[in-house]
Amino acid sequence: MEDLDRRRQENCKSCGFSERGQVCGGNRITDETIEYVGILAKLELSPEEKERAKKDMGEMLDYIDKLNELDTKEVEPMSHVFPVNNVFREDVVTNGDDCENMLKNAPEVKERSYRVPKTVD
Amino acid sequence: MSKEYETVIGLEVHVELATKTKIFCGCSTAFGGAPNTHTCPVCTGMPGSLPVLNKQVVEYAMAVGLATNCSITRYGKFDRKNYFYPDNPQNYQISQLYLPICRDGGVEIETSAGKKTIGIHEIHMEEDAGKLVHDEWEDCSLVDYNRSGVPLIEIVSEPDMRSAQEVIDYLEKLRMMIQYLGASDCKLNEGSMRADVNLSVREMGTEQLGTRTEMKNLNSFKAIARAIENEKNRQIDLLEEGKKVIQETRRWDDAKEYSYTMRSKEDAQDYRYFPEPDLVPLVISDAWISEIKERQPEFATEKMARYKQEYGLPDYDAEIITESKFLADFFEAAAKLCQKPKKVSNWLMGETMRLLKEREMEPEEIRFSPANLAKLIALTEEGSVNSTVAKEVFEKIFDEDIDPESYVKEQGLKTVNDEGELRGVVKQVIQDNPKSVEDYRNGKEKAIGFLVGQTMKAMKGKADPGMVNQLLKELL
Repeated sequence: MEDLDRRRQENCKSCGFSERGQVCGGNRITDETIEYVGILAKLELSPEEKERAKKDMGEMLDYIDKLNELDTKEVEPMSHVFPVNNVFREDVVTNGDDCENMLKNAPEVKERSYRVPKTVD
Repeated sequence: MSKEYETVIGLEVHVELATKTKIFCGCSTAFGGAPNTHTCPVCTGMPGSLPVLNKQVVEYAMAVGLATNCSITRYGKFDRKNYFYPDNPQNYQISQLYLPICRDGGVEIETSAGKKTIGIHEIHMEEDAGKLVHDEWEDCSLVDYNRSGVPLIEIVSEPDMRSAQEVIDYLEKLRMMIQYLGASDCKLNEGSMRADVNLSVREMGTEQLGTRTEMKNLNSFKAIARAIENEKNRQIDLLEEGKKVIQETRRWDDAKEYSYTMRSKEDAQDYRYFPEPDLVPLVISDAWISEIKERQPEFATEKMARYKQEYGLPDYDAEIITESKFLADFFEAAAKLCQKPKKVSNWLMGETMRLLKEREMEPEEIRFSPANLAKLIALTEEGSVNSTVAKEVFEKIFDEDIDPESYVKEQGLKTVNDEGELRGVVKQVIQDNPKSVEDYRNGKEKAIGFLVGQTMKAMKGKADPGMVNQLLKELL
């Protein structure tokens, strides 16, 4: 249901960037947006880094804005570049137990599991 | 309560598909492996690994969609749903947001007011996450990715249900269909079927929907019914007190019969969906749809009609047996072996149901073979065992799947039809129980029951009660 809501949620009309339903006002990246993007990306930015990120993201949006100069009313949105579809696997087990090798990727291992900081809902 | 309220419920049902392998890699989906033994670079989100779609997942999703009268999306694709949580190694879940595989279907349920269709908004395919275990001794969590990448379909209903009963009827109908399709075993207690309940209340007669909450962690039909009742009352109480319902996700604690806030909309995640670039689009042709349609099995309703017509089963028997695909298959196998469908039905409806209830088991947990039930029926039909012994033997079959033929022989349970032997025992019983004999002769008809009992006891239950009765009357 949450997903369905999100689909209905309006993004900013001018830049298309999610402003939690608000219009962000041109291509300017606001302090609130940077704060929010930081939370979503799990990044802690210093004040200087925030300013730089605001400028960089603003420029990216300006660049994307060039596309708005084109009339795309009749063009279907494209998600994939290559004219390939229906690539399938048959439902046959091909992988064995490679637990030992896989766990070499773990930050820490305990009881054949990936040991991570305590995470509760 | 001064006002009348109406409860509005929609469901999101996750169903784990019965494929042998995961949705995007060749790892096994078998249950109960040691942690991380069914994992590979794809399902643990290693950089550079590439997912490839399991064709069977698409076919199961199509089959469920067709069975629920959905239209199949001809041009589909997958999307990434981004969020950080350790059970999700890629930091995104591959799901379908914009072009789900099935749309606009419905399932018909029976209500006290007649038939009602519960609309299905969409069905989409996605991958399951891993399992987190919280370590009590050390301050850490342990992740097992065996479930990561196990295929799921999510069936999103319209908010068409109005009571807990309608919710349960809808879920039972869905479960039955999916089990018949073989697309999943749909066990709520094991998590292969999970239902999240979206519920709101509104004043009777109003059109606008109230603010809803989403309830998670519902592991049984009973828990679902209790949670719905509880949440409905909680929301009505809030409104009656002039407070507002907050849109949030709540977690049900069935032991405490209480729910608590998991996350509110205030800090709801922004999933930043975008098309999954690593998977190519999915194009479904008419031919493919016809192929799946042709493979659809005989569903419960059709089976029920056939059982009544072909085997002469009563409505009630046919309905109960076809409610479980497992039971229906069992019935057909046993009936074929012994050619006595009505007898098979009697054993299933009577003793089997009684023992299932007593042992708190589901029909799917039946461990005995149709062959052994068929043999027992043959033994009773030829009069080798009487009905009391048959029930005893059946309990043995139910619990240990013993072969009734050899069991009856080994335990010496065969009915004694030798009149000479029986006559001797009856005479002895008459001699040993003068009081009852006198009572009977003085007109106390009931006294004969005691004598029959004594004879059966002396025969260790192996006599034909009818014959005992007859002999007693003759000799008294």
